Amino acid sequence: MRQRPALNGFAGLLSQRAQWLCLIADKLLGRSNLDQFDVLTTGYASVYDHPYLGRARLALWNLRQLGIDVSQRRGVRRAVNDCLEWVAEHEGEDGYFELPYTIENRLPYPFRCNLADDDPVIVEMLNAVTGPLDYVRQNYKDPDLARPVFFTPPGSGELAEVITVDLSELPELSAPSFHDLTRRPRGPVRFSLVDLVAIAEELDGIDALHPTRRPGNWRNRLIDPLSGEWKFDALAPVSGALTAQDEIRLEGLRHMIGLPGSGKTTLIMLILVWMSRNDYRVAVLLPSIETSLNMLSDLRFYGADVGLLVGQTPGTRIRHANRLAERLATIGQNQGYGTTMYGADLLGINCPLEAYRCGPNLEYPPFPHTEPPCTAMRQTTLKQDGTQGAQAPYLRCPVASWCGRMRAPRKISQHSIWLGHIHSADTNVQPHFLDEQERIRHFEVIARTMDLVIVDEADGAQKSLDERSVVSLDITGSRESMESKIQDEFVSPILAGRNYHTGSSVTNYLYAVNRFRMFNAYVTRLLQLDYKQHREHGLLVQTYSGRFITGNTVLGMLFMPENFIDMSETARELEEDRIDRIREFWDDAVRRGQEEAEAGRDEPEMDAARVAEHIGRTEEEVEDAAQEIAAGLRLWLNSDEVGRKGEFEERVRNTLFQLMPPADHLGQAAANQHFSMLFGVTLVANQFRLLSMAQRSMVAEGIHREPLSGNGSSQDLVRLMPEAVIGRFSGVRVSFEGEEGEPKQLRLQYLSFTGSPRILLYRWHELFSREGQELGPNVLLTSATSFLEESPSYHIPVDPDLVLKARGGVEEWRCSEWRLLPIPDPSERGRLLRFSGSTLSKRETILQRMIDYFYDGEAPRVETFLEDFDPDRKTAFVVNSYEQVRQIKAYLKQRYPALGARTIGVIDKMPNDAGTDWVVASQVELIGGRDDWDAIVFPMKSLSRGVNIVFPDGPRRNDAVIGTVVFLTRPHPAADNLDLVTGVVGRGTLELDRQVINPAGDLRDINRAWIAKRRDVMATVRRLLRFPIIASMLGPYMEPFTADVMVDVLQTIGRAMRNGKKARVLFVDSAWAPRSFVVDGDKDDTPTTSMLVAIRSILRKRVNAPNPVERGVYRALYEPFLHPLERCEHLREDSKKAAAE
Amino acid sequence: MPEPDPVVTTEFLASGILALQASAKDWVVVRQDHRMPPQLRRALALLSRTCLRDGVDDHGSCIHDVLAMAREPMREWGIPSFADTAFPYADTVLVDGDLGVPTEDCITLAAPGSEIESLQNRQHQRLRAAVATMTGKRKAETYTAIREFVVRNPIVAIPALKEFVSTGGRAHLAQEIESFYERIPIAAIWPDGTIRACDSCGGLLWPDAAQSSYPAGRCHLRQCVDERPTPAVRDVLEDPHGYYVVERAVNAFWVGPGLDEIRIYDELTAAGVEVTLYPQEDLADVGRSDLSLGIDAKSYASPIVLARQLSESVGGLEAFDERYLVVPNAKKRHNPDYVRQLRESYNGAVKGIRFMSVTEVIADVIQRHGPL
Repeated sequence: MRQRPALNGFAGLLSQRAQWLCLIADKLLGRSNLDQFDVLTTGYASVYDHPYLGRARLALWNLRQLGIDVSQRRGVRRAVNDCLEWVAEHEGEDGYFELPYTIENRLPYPFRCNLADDDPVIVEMLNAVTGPLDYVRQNYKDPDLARPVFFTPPGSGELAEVITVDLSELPELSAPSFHDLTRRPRGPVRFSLVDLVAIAEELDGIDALHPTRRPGNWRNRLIDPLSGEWKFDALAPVSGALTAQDEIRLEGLRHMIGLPGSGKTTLIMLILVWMSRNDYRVAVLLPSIETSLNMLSDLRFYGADVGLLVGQTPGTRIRHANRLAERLATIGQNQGYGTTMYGADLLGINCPLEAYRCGPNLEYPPFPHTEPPCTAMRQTTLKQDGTQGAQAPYLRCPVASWCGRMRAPRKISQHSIWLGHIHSADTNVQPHFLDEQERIRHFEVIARTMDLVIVDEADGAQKSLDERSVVSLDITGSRESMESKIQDEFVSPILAGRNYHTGSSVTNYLYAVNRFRMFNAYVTRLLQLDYKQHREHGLLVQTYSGRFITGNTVLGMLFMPENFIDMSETARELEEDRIDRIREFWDDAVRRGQEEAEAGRDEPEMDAARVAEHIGRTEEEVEDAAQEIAAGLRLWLNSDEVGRKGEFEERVRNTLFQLMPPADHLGQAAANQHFSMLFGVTLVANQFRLLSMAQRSMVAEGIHREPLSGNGSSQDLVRLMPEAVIGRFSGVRVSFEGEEGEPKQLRLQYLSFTGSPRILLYRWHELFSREGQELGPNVLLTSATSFLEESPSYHIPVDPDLVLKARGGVEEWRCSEWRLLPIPDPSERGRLLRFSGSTLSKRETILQRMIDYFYDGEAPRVETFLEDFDPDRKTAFVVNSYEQVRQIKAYLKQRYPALGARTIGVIDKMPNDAGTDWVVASQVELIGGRDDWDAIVFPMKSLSRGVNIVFPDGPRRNDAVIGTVVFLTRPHPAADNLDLVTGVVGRGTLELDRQVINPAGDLRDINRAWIAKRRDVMATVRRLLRFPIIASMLGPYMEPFTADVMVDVLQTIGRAMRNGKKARVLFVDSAWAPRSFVVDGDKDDTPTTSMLVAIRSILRKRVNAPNPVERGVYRALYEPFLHPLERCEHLREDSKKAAAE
Repeated sequence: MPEPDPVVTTEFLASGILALQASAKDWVVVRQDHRMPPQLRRALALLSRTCLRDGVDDHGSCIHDVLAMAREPMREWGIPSFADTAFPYADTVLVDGDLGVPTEDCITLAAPGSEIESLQNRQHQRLRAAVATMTGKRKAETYTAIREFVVRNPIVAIPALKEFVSTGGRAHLAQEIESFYERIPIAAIWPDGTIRACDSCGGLLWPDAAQSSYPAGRCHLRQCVDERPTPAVRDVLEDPHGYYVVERAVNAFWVGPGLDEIRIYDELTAAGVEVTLYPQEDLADVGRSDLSLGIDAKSYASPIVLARQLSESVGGLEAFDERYLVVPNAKKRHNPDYVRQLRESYNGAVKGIRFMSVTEVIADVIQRHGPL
């Protein structure tokens, strides 16, 4: 986080942000108004680097780093308003400084500079904003060990008892080693494959000294010992063709495709050892902390200087500690009791400070080991006369230089190789290990000081980052909810007497909070009433529970015709346009009502003429209705009695319905209920937006210690990356929770798109270039599935620079067999078992019948599978959820106990009576060496990337243990899954970030490019969010949807193809290709009816890509899958229709 | 706070490992989250502190490492204190790695109660062992004198302690006696740099966040608070470094119960009844060395639980001809039926016990044994 400039002139950077906008517009861009200025703070590389910005580039970059972003709705107007308000409030006070710019509060916000160019204020401001900004320094003190230190256990509130700690007996501790932030990247890295052979031989030498350890056979992994030939080729595009290289050059951003079995992991290991031996610094981001620990153990064994980068927030630490516990529980006997493993010491939780606790009661309050006071301890200052002062600054714990809890973050400052998960990079460096206590994150340290970043399984990392572009936050209904935190941090202290804040921002915040609570109460009551009266059958409960709802969703319910799904594509588009216009109207009317009647309005939010045209009314009627709705809402806001509020709500509703009648199929009662929902959701969402904006300054005021945002990216990452192209688009999710028979608790969750963390992967190598840092780390993005243009979530749109491909050998995958396996439904003659799409109540029975098919009989198929395809290779049953794994395992236990015990269930949480036939995902790799199982059942996405089940030794060493993959269900994300949406948003944002906007253009062109992309992506997002994600309703979005799911399907099948092995894949669920499953059916499948056909059509398109290099890559990547899919037994495709589609 | 005693740390760690086992019914996998028993957490912290003092890495932060280490004799843990020849448990193995359970040694070592009881038992054992080297009457007198001194002086000026230790033939017990005290905890020092003594028990008055309830500070000795919920200040002591305070285990197990014992003793003596404190090395709290009269004070919250305990054994009181079982006045104040319920619920073999409150026993004994 960057330090705000300290000025002699005026203070209050945020409230006067418009002054800075004017300064940049005036002095650096030569403009006289702020029109279209919003696009300049969006943070896109395409904007920063546009020639129009010229000298303003760094200044605009700095503004964003300081938290000044006016790209959100009406951001410029708000900035101007805030500034004028500030003036009105402070004018006439002693020491009041006239602000440099006078701005008019109307479009296009013309301004006038009141000072001369060489006025010291202007000069100072310009200097402040045109040089690199320093980092905020945290001000943790080191304690006086002779005096007590104290802290309040987290969450206990200010009046809780404090815990006192006596550090006077602490032995002398050596100072921790600090991160060296002055180191700079050394530039491009080059090495030859021969260099790597030398390293491989060195590692083999080390192995030879440790005969009890399983050797790595490093040289043999690179070069065939018999023929002396290389085992793989490192191909790079040269003059339109992929050509083998004998040198690898890593410079800037590099994309490496490592085809399955090509030795990508071997190469990474050797590169790391080579880098370590040559004093380079490298960060490696892996799919999980478990994979990181495995690699850490190997690298340390070979003497590489390596440490673990792992998140330090209490929740993250507990999560990793629990995974460690579960992993131990199956590798060790006795549920892991008395067992430990390499790296456990890096995930310890216990804090030694409890042994230094002091006071009359050492048991209460309990010492917070899971959230220890590493930076929460305080010590009162001493006055000159030796008595205690009133201040009690925060301290950095002196024991951090020794304790086990801080071992991982402490040691990492000394290591040249960091291993961790992509999210680990977005964590703060602990102030204990920074000489100057800069507020800096690990990904920034990496960008400033390291030579190379390797992102393994980069497509998965991209998806993980996308997940963080949605902030989800409980509004009400849980202890962690925003309402609860506002109560604890803001309302309670005021009630307890901390009511001395008189600044208008705090008072405004209080007003906003009160409204927010009122709106929450409204929505809560609405849904609880519906639930109380009708339980799960309540209209609102049924329609909205568990879904992402925006005003748009509800508008769709209210105004869309019942037959919308069956309408032609063109008719649907027209209908969607109409809904968009209604939304424009409604949002504008509500916003008017939420503002005071006399509020100045700069620009019309809605185009009344366009609305009128779409809904078949006159412009005047539209304008009048908006006024009437606003008036009704104001009355509603002023009333504090449920009955009266109901009357005003009715008035608003009648106005809306008179202008636009709800859809015909809705009865009056249903329309009224949907309207109430629309009313509540719009109010809550608008108010939430207001509050989250206000919270930034509340942190500055000390009201909140940190913004109450949810689990999104850090604010630092958000500022360094561009805004999501759809802006801070947001809505709410509703769910009911609680035990059966108990009153249900309503949980309201807010979801908001903030920032675009995926861009980090593409900008890391030049992250601080706009601040003048010439060299950044080289970045190597690598994966086997990161190149699939149709997939919004996984595709990495950087042409591959390097393709690793296994050389020679038999292409055993050509013998793979894929086939549809229709299983007759024993309960109904002529029907086949279909899982996906069946009613929930039938699904368990269907799974059981499928299991019968494989486990029943004299020679159960699960046993013959061990022999009839590729002997000794086992079977994987793939399902969609852990719950289904539990169901299958329970059924097996009851019906087929002997075979059931030889079927391993992969589970998220170990059952209490678990035996060796259960594992958690992080232990799956370890079963490769066991012979006490025949089959494994797991949910598709439960196995993290990089987790392979291979034969650990013997003649089949490193071959996939799994030979047959049976898809019992067709994978399908949950109806409320946001992956596709975040992928679409991420892709759109990245496209705009990398776009070259007409270099000869000006601000208008930049703005136009932004608006166009924004409109385009927004239309898709609105469309996707309007309905639950159901394949049959996706229309044009079926292809990206399939492509995303396909990556997961291929990753799963890929587990049976390790080391280039052939695989047998069986699709049991008829939902995979419903028409093909009908024996002698008269219709064939198309990409719309069958995901398999859709996958095939995407793959065909890719392997025939016009660009020869791309085509080469795609063929190398996907032929092992397309080849058997082309021959997939029983799959019938309507070729005419497929061609048309 | 003094450095932890490796023996107490070991016993407490053994207790923690047992507690972990006890919680394993619904907690099969060993986890480090909120489900970990608090006594195990504290034991791990004490283990860490031992490591820190010994100048080695922190071996206490991760329970998995500790349990794995505990499969080996403690001397092999890489922690010098546990390899010391004076450390009695150096060869102890706490965890049976094959069975995945605590060893019998661990179960035996596990302190029956809290860490504080473990500490008190250890101190008491040390005192008894030291006193045992003495003979005859002096043995009993010395024990009594030491306990009386401690109960009467929960805060003591360092010179006064030195003087007590060096007189009355107690010099060779200096180490044991001084181990009952520690320097004033820094949390007990007031913002003005002073410490305050409680008017009722003489112990520390701690500064308290709830100032309006405790303007004079807060006494944390349960028996004292029962008697006088809002304390008053007896003394404001200027130089905290010039004083010691009784160690918290001694405070809880000697000073607290001792308040009533001392009061009974003082008032009986003042009335001319010849009694002694802790006769025959603690057979009773107050009584006659010829065993003709014994008074035991007990401050259980529930008369029923106390009766059950006494019904099993009345301890040394059985040896006396005339037996009094006394409860604090406050118990009777809170529950006027306390003594009656105690009497009626008692069904032990030892008969002829008189149950009464402190005030009542003083009056009764004076009436029966006082000068005419």
